[in-house]
Amino acid sequence: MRLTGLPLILLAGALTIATVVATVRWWRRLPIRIAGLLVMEVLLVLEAGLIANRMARFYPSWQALGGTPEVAVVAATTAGRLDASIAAGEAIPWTPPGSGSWGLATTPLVVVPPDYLTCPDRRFPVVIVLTGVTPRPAEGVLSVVLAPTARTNAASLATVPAALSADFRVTDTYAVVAGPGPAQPGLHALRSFDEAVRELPPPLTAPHRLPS
Amino acid sequence: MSIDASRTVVVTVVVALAATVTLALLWYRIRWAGRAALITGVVLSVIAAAALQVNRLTETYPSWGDLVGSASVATSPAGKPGQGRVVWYVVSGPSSGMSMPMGVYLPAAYSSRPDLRFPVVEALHGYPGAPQTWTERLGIAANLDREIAAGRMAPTVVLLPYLTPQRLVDTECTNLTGGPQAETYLTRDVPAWALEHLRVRPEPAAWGLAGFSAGGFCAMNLALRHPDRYTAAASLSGYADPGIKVGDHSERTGNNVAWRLTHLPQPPIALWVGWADDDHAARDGSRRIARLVRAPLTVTTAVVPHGGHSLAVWRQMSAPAFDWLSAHLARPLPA
Repeated sequence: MRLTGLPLILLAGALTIATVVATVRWWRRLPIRIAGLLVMEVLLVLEAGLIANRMARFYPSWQALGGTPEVAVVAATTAGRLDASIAAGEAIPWTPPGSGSWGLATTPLVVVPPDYLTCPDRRFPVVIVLTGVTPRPAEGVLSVVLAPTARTNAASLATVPAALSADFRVTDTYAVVAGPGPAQPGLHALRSFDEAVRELPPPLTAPHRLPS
Repeated sequence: MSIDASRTVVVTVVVALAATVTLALLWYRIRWAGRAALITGVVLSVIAAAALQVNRLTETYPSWGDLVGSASVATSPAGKPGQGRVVWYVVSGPSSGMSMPMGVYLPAAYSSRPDLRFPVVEALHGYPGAPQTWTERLGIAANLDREIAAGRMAPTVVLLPYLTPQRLVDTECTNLTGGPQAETYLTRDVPAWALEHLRVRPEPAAWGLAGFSAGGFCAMNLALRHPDRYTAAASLSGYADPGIKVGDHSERTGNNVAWRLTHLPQPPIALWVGWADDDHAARDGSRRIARLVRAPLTVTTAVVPHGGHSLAVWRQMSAPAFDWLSAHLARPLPA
């Protein structure tokens, strides 16, 4: 019998009526009088609750009444493939597989933040720099310097995030810095590196996640 | 004895039981007037017990004073090291003309790092409800303390405003025609007050919204309507439409999340949409929203298998939702 079903409501109603009838019938007996009144009250409140729950579906099933199973998980932060071979605060050339299709003028450069190795459980947000100027290492962001050409646009750079997250401990949060030249189509770009850093979250540990 | 304490409910139940037994015992020893008085007492105490328990679950009237219209403003004592605290203020809104109490969660870092300005989340309650649903029933302060301590969240200031000046008027965070101007209060007055009184970051990149049930609709709707003020919103069991009459028919258009996503350009913000799979109304609305999202708007979905439209679901969803929000909001920065 479903918690929100009519049968349960009718059953509770029938029990209420039966209790009223029985209590009135044997009203002169004290134990019946006490028990009858108490049961009547409980059934009336129950009936009202069932009707309200049927209308609003707060608890759509018996299962829901028992709470909800714990399904949120915290995945461990996995190390990036290059974590072991880089030093904090340095700028390293980065040539992941597939980078040839990004349409760049020179080899991409990754600037490792100074706190990268002291916070091994954290993942870092990313600043994608399209100005060609290598930024100084900044706390709490990993920067990637890409030298764009006429062929560089949002579509050609679509695989950058996946390549980055394989090699480094990064999040999927990005800010893009572009120069004053023509905008790369499809990229929401900021003018300065500092502005980009200000917009990004800090490095965080892996979040609680629910199934999607 | 507070109105929302389990002890208050237990005492009322005991009174109801005692009145019932007394009625049964004394029935043949008292006159009609006495019987009538006892019956009235029994009926009232049963209703009171049920009403108190419902109020305890929803926190519609968080204090006895709220029943008579004088809202409570009680601040929790200073937290232990590493613990944030909830402070209560009265926020008067010059734009909306509304004046209501608001809870403010200040993370531990708020006092230990006086040099920093913090990101902000406005956390909206359901209907019927009050900010105390977040603080008393969902344990938001302990939840945030834990997430921040674990590094899953940045230290964040969380604002807990009322959505309505009258407890039983459902605003759905809209400007009701001829009624409360909740949207103006929440998106203009509350942020302005926070910027004036708290060390919070002013940039939209540092502002997010969260809410459960009606508050979930509010979070999505307000973020979509004000992408120049908010950058991310998390909906816990929210609906695609307000389910009320706003007065200008905008519940079918501008104040309808599904309509906005279908007919208006989508803003470059991020949504987190969570629901319980057996909560059919919220599930269908949330799935519809997730299907309608197009770039540059992004959506992350989150599902718990069952739990209905209940506090148990929102207790479990709070940490994932706030972790996600924090990962989409700008960091605390030196002022």
